[in-house]
Amino acid sequence: MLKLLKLFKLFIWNSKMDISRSMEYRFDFILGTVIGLAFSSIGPILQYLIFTQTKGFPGWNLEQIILFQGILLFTSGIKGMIFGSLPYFVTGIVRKGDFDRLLLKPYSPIGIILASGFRLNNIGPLLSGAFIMVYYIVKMNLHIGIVQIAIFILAIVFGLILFMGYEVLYSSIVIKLVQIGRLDELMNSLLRFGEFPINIFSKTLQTALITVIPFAVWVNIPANALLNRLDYTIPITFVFCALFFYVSLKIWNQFLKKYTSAGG
Amino acid sequence: MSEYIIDVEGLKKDFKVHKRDKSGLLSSLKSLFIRDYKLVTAVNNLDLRIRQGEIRGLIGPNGAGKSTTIKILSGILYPTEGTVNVMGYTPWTQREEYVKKIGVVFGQKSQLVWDLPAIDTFALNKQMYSISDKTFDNNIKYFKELLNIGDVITKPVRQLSLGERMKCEFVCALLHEPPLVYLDEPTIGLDIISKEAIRSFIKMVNKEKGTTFIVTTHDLSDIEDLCENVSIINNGTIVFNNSIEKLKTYFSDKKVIEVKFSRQINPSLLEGFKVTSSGPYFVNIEIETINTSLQDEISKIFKELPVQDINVNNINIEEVIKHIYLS
Repeated sequence: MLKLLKLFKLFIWNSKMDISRSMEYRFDFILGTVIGLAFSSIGPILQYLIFTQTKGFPGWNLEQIILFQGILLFTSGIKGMIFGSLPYFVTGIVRKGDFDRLLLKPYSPIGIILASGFRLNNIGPLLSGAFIMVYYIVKMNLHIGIVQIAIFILAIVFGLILFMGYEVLYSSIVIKLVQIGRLDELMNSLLRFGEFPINIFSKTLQTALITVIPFAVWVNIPANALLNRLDYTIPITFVFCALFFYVSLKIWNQFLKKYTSAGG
Repeated sequence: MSEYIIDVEGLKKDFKVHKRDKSGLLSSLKSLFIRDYKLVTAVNNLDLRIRQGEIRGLIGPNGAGKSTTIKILSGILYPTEGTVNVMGYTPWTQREEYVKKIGVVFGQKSQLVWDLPAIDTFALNKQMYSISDKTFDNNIKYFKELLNIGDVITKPVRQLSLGERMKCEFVCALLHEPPLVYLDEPTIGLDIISKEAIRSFIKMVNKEKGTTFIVTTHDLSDIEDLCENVSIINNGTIVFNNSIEKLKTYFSDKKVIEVKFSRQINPSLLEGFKVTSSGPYFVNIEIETINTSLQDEISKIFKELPVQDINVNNINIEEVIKHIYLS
């Protein structure tokens, strides 16, 4: 527990430093945020077009799907702000041998990695997602009770745990293989399965998305919580998120022993 | 606690490396499907003991295993075999606790945040090592005075010179007052003034705080200026482990006589001497005192050559080290 608290403090420090760094290059920050906001509006517009020009998604009306998109932006914004820098950070430090520096600090190196991902530029999707979400909750006149709010928050938390597991797994592969090129893109494509309502997929894939690859936790569960569509699969998905993180840590510990550093 | 701060026995580290026999596209394509690996032993049965408060030089040719040894000692790499005891810790198994007690400076890698002033990295280190406000303030003040970096630490790191940056790297490594500091080529690329400042700083910290320093370098002046003892690593093992004085007199039965001439000489006059280098107005003659008496050789020089000045020296330390590297 003490270690987690220390890592959280470290995350706060790293975040402060990233904000200071962003302020050093103000133009880059402003441009990045504006572009982030502009791009984040594309998702809901695209979904609107898909929905109105096709048969839509079974079990979802247009307002619900825009709410779904708002939650997607919101959770992507949170992930992006907390872990946005990680892929570049990990690949960069391992390739140049700078990962050594992390091993010289009195922390778990994966803890330092996870605490180094803050990226202020991703505030754009977070804000636009929050706006769309709140707007549609009001517009749809949704009645949200404490249970729904609790499950929504738990889904966000377990979604972050799952994403940490994903980043730990990614870091493990980088440690082992050093240069992984397009594996990053492949893994990101896999994550995209979590960005659609899971009932559009086959039953097998649906089961996988709530168990072994519990990507449903990112958008589906929070959306279902707000729409009051709660069922028994939610706790199962939470358990699998924690399990995914645990297994990824075990893999990391094994791969770390194989770390070779770079020549002098 | 043992009298040794570092006690290493039978250390070995193997790396499995991918090898390609030929250059070119075909060979690259072949390596996509069939890959040959070979086992490279970077450190081989290395024993090392270092006393508390020492400044120990660790030198060796490129690829000798110095950096790998430092990386194992600092907990970065797991060894293949061997035991390491540093201040009672096994670095790679007790890494998190152990690294609180050490500082590391890599001359070729920075731990400063590039876009921000060094003071921000110091503050981050304060957080990481749980340094109290009082200790932090006192140490910053101490290092600012000692290294003359009052104005330097508030400028973004990217605007600093290499010398200024290296001074800040030292502050990072020493802020948490570690009893043991590893310096991997700390003066690489520095001008003579900056080198001097860094060396004085190391000596001062060693004297005032009793900090043990392990220095790897290719710059022999670092070793001569800083270290009492030196360990030479070659092919992954220690091949010399003694004082600098012993290293200087490694060839105790060999002397170099430097002679300056009062006029230009005919090279034929040098026949009969073992000449290591010569010019129209000078010659360096090597003698082996086992075979030849120094007195006889000097008499012969005075008799046969137009001597203006003469000096008798031990074999140059660089020559000694070159000999050890090649042997």
